[in-house]
Amino acid sequence: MGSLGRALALAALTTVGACAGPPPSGEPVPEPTEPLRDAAHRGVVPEDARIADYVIDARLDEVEHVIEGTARITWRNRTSRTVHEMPLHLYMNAFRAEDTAWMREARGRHRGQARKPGGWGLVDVRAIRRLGAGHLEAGEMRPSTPVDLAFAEDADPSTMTVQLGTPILPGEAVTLEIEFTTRLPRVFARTGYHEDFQFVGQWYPKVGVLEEEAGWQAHVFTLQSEFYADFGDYEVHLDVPENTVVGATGIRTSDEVADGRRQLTYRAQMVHDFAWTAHPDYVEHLGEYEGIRIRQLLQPEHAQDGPAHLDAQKLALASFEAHYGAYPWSTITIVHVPDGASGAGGMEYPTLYTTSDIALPVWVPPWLFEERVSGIFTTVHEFGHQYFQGLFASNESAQPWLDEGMNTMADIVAYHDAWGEDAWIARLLGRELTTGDMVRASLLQGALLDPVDQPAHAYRGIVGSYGAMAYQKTAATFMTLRALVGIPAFDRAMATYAERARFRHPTGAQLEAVFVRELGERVALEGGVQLHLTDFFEQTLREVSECDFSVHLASNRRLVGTAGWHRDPAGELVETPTGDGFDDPPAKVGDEQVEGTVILHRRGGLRVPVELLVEFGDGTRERVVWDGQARHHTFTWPGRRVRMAVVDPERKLWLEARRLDNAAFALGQRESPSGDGLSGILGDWSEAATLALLGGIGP
Amino acid sequence: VTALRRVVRAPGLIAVVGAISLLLAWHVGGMVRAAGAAAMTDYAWPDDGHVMYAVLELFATHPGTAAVAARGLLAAGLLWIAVQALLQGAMVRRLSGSASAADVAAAGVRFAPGVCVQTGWTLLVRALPLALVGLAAGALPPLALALSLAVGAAGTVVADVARARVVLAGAHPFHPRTTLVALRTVFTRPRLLATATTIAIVQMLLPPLVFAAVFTDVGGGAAIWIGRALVLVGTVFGLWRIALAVEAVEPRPRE
Repeated sequence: MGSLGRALALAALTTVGACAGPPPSGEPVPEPTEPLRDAAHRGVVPEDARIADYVIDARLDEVEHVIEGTARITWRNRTSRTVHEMPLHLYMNAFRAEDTAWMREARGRHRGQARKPGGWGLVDVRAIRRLGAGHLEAGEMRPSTPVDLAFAEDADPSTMTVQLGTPILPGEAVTLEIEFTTRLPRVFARTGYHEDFQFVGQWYPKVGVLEEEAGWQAHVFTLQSEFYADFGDYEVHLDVPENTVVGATGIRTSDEVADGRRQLTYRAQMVHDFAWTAHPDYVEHLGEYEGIRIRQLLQPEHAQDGPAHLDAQKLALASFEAHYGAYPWSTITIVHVPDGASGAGGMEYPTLYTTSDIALPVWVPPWLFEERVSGIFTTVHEFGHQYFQGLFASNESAQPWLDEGMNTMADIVAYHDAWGEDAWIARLLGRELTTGDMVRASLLQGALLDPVDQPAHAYRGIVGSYGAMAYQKTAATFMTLRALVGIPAFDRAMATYAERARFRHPTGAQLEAVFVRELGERVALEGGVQLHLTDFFEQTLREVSECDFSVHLASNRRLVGTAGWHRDPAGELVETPTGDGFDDPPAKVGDEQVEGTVILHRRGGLRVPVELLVEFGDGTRERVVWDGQARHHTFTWPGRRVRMAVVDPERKLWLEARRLDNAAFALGQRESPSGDGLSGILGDWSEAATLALLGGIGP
Repeated sequence: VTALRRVVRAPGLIAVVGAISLLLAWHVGGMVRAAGAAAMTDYAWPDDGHVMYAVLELFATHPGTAAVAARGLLAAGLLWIAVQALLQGAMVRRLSGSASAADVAAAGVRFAPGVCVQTGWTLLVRALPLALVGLAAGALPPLALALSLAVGAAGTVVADVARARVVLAGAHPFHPRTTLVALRTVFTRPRLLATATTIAIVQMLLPPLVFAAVFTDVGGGAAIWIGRALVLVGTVFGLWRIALAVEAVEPRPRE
């Protein structure tokens, strides 16, 4: 079929597909004809990263919430290892019983959502057959008589091991056929159903990742661990009720209705997962960004939020493409989950993610309150995973920070690109909370309980440090680095990392190595101070040390003079008379007779360079840098009177949450005893709140 | 206008009512300032534009400061309610023309239980329409807000009339019939209903303005003074509203 004919056929399919639900709003963007963008826009897509292809047939029983499926997996051994057995992830089994590894840790709760009674989920593998094998270089599989393979669930049912019988040699490929039944849980943690809404994620058996050095990587699914899989091509045939609107990874290539059922085919290239959703109430909103079709599936009551999420998606695309390279796929589907299914919200899958609703009612006037947190931040964040999880695909179980934390950092950068450095995320009557404030507020809680760089299972649910560490401290670490080394240098290093990470499952060590290579082991900062990059990463990622500096002392004292007895050049003792006002306090003598002194104290364990801004009595200011290595450091200015000292005046240290001790007036320089600048404001606010309350009561 | 004249002729009353609320609020502010200053010790906040975070950090690292603010606010509110119980009778008596401080004070004490009970009845009267408005709030929030304001304001006017009837007309201080008669009085006099309700609505809009003025630092260092001045304006409006109730209850002079 020629390209025109193919386009017309797909346009017709798109029209058929649109029959379920009302017509889409937004721009009329047709379904793409290829899962990847055209070669000029997709960036590098290495063929040798293609490891595991899946062809899946799945039929949804919408009443029982059960999926009967068959998966034909073609797996390529691109390592030098001979493979005798193969691990499979059965993630859905995390929800099978209360004693699975995941449920033991979660105790039936996930991100504030509680498991509903009776709503267990599971995946039951009924049969595994070996269909054929072949050499990678030959390019084709040799079909053979299907051979039943032995398989068994591991100690935790979230993984399974298949005995392959005939080993798979380096450079060989094998095709397995797996029959499975998936029972969806009542949704409270990412996947499942709520009434007639179905979100189907991590629902089929998935092959582990064979690494050259470390061998098979297949992790028990635990509360904080997410996913790790190889790239490949997917062709998925879905059989769902006729009235259902479906969204899925990749592009839709066929959509036919017969006998009250809808048969759809989706195709995706170079992805490592496939998720889909079905719901009769979805309304569609379409948009486009440089050839990428952006499809939103909204709940009718939130249909008006479509343009706001589309704007957020576009600003995120603009920022991520500029910093981390081309988005390779031709489509993005944004799913808005219904009330009662919020446990499915805020989760990422290749070319598809779920977001959250904008919480602020539209009738609240912007001058009163504005926010860019609910809905918008979720959209930017979940899209960000398309890079750090979807495109780079690091091992989220082994190093969750590499996805969640780096993505949070990139989200903040996207906000800055769109709305300026340290953009506000909430604004009440003009008073702002910024992205930096948000990160620091998180660090105030639980940031000293765990190191950042540890496996997901090491973060215990009951400790509650995962969010602060994996997300916020990672983001704070890299935003601090960005501020210290300068935005251009940081962006250059991140771009290099992104270029090397595409489709390559990068590790944290590789990320750190790129930064060291790009910026140098010792980064020269102002004032001749150096940042030791390896040491910085060691402290911030693998140690539990707090970043906290304070002004220990800001004062002025009499400058050392020449009064008293000294020997002259001839060796004779000669007295220099004591000057006028020798006993006067520093406040009484002229500036030229005082020595301004500021002592900085590193209260926390983190050793990192920090700036000090000093304001002198004559109104002038000076900025100096301390390497932050010792516990304290003394700066002196002979002949100058210090008025005020401020540590980290430009708020470069995103890692520092406790900042109330970062500034101090020199002794005697405060305008009033309560002139700390904050308690007065707080008192005024409290007085005003009381006045408002009393005025509301009477008379 | 005659009602407003009654208020203007009672500058002492304005001063006393206004001063009590200002003093209560000033005291709460003072407590929080002191707690905040104690928490800040010798440190200073360098006005880097992140005041919201600074307050958040202060509350997080010195939760006692937040407790002082919250408890101070609560205590001031409760105290003001108690003061209001004593003031209501006194305000009605003063606005009805009594110039005797002793008489005014005695009325305040004597009728305190009655005005409290009548206030309670009017709260019940307000509850039903407010509940209905609340049920509709999901569909039309701005309209629901406006209706709530109107219902609340009209209820306040009914309470004013009920309390004035207790103090001036010898109505039963505890019986709900007094409230029902006040309700009939207000809703059978459109002019009273419109004028007093409008005043009450304006008065209800002033508190958020007070907070907003100070929170946004309108006028720089003068913001708190603007807030205090607005409270005095609110006091005058409140007394004006009560004076309208007094006029509605007092026997009308024969032509």
